[in-house]
Amino acid sequence: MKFYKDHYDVVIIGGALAGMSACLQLQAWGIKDILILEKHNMPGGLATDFVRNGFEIEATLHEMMSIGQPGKRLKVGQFFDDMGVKVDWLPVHECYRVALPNSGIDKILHHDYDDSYTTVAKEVNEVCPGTYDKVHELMCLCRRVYDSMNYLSTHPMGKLSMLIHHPDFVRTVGYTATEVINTFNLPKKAVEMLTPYWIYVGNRMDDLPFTIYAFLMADYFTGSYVCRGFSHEMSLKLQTKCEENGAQYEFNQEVEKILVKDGKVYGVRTRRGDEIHCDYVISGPYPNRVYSQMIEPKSEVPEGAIRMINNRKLSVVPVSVIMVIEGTPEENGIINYSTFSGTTMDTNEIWRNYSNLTEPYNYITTICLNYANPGLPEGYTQLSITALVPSKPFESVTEEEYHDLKRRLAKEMIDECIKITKVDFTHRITEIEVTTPMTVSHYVGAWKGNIYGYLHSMEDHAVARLQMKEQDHFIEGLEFAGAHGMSGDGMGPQITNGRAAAKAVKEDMDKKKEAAKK
Amino acid sequence: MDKNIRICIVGGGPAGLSAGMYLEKKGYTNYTILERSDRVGGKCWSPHFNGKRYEMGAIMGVPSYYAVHDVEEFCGITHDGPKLNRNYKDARGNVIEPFEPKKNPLKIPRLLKMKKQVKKFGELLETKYKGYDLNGHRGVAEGRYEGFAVTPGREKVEGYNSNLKDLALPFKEFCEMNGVELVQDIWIGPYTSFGYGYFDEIPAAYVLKYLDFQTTMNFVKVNLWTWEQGTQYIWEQLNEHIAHPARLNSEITRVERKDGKVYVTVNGMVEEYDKIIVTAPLYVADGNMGNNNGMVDYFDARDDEKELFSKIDYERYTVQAITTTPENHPEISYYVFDNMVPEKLGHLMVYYRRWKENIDQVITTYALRTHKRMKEIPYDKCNEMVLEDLKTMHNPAKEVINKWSVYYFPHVSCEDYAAGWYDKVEAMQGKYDTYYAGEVMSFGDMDETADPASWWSASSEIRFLLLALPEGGAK
Repeated sequence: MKFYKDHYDVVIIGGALAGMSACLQLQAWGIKDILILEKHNMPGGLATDFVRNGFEIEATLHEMMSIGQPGKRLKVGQFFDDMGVKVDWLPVHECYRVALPNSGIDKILHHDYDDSYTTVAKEVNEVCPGTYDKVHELMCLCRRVYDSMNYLSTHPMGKLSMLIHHPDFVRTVGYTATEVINTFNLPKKAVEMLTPYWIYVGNRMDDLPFTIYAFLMADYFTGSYVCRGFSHEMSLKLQTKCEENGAQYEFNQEVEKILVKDGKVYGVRTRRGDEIHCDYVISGPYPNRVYSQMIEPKSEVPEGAIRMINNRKLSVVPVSVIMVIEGTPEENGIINYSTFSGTTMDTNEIWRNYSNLTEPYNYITTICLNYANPGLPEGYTQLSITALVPSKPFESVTEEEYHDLKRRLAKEMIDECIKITKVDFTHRITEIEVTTPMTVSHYVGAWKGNIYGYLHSMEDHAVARLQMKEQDHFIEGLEFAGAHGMSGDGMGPQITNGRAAAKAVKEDMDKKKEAAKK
Repeated sequence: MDKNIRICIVGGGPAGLSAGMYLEKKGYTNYTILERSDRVGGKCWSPHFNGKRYEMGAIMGVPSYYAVHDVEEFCGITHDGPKLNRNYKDARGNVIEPFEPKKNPLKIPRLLKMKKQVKKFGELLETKYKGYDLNGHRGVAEGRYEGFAVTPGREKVEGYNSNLKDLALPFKEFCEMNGVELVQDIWIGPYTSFGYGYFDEIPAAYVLKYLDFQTTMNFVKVNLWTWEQGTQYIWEQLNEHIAHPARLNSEITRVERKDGKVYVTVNGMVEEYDKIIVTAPLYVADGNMGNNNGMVDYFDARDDEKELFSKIDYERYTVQAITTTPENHPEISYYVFDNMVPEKLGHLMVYYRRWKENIDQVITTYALRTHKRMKEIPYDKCNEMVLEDLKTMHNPAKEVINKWSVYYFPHVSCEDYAAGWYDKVEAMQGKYDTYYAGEVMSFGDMDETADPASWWSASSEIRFLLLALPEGGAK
């Protein structure tokens, strides 16, 4: 028996969250002839874990957005339910702790799954009295913009009706996060408390579209979840479901080329040399990689595609220190799940600091898994410290410098963390891994180690991309699903990106069937 | 040669992009330009600040930049930037007018003598050094000239002139030998302060191929071209107009040439080509530029390549972009001749102001850190010295917003020049399916931009390359 069939309807490159969601969505629509090719020997890409000395260690910042409570599911949670993928979602009871000693702020903002925005406004008000109304209104504005974006992403609409039905979205779409927040006249402290998440979209508040900020705030403050048994568990469940539904999922199969003729996809070729034919390809690899190196023959690369990828700037890359520490979190001075801390919350200053490799990072996010995921070994703390930084400084790191650099970054980030924990846990660290853009690039082959897709800026953001969707589509039958997709980065948005790719495939299939009938 | 040959061009600066343009014009349409960074333009770098662009690299051109003009025509753009002007200061920060006889009565005899010498120099270059201003350096060391005339028509010319061998001498010596030592006072402005080194160590050929008589007179008369959106805009536009735009973010880690094919590893994947044109640095002497310093480091470099290219040295030219408070803002660009001598290595030689009206614009400063007989000034130290100098000039900086020390003006020494370095490289062109078209190959024609942190437009090298590519017939 041959390893592959001669032909598939759809080949999906990359069996991670976006690719597997695309697969499930297609299957739900009755499209079953699907092959998923994964270059690694595990599903899920970065939504995974690893084992050291008997400790199972989460590899990612593993919160899922847009899940929602049972009965009040949001779109990602609903999708898992609809697809019959049973994940045990564990609610995270806080948004974050923001600890800025220089500003005199150290406060945990909590989720209240019924009315988080009120809770947040109250808690900010405790630190900055008199801000309740404004903060509440800001949060509600974020929510309205979020709802509009969700609606508009699937319902194309004329300008006039958009103005009538989505006035807040239209009012804010041309402005930066800073510009819109400034209209609320909040004290600096309050703004600082509401700024931390900027790092998860990787651009300074002065260049970050308010719509993106609003989406993030509204989504996270609605409450996030983690998956019992780590991200790997979720990936495994998705993969099992894809296979149950009839897809062929193959590991250790790296796709080298996407075969194109007369502007239309007709197959892929793997590193092993298999040529597999299909009508559609959904690509996890970045458009940069695909258009510059994977399309065969090269003459099929549309000129506009190179111009498009040239004009997209890569977003941030993660530098993480992942540790298992002896002792309970409390013994190690860690009192909560997710902490943003540093010497400043001025995102221009942080960006400047992040753009070199000489100064210690001045802003970090610390995640203590124990507070969200029960079942970790007793008496141990799982902690990760992350900075999300521009990839540029890493490009000139030499092989000789690399290991020293890793050690130095880890030490500096741990030192920064200890400023908040006030307990020096360094001598109790039993396991430690340091990941850099190089680690990510090596592990999943992500373009330049980039897991955050393209930079959201005032020049190039989700709304503009949505409007340019047609013009940015170059090869018939080729769709993209990954952090580079329309909905951007993060594990939750990957589900949405995958479904969007599936939708594009389905629509094209329907169009062709329609044409054939005529 | 088969017009479909697959040509890889390393580098998306002026040289690489104009290589693409000229190849396309010649009908070679199967080319790929690979650029490591996330922008085109190389040393034509015009970042944004407060809604305007300032220049970290090339600033200006002159009317005889025919290749740049080709590019403008190809793209339908023109030099639409602000008119530049300048003044002079001494090392103590006083405004001076060194070329104005009325202001310098004591220097009148010297100024008169200089005027005479400039005239004489112009005549000498036309006669004794006929052929001195052609593009490229081929044959010069042997007393030949061969190339394109520096005229709008750019006719092909060639001939023998053994006097051309003098061009291998340091420019200072060359001037003294010809009894025109005072012309250095004029030539130094757009030369040393623009980062091209000192006249006692740089072969006259480099000085004069770039600052031929006509170009120098354009500088004297401040007959300059600028671009509103910066010089980077020229190359951004070219990249928009050529058939195959440069692929940005493309890092080459390995190039292997075997069996008539060129295998290029780009971002970890191997791509196959027939020929490769290198416009990126061939060799970086002290290797402090991160990975892949020079071509010899990531190519399967052959012994002759290694041996020849190891002779290349470059200038450590340091540019800082600063802002000032309104009261400290300079009213014009200033040249500081006192600081253009090796004894003042690392000091501020010139600082530029681009727009006539704005007092909130970025000022760029320029200093050199190396001279053959002196100890290199460390980058950070040099930056500090320049900021101190700005205080002396009564224009202290408020904030440094950008800085770089760039691989600048690769060149060979007088000895290697005289020993025929360029003819040896010429003989190697194409030998390994490789063409060397980086800036080191020329710096000599009028369209090589000529200003602080200037970049070569390198179009001359490309023409030179096209000469090297056989016009037709079997490979």
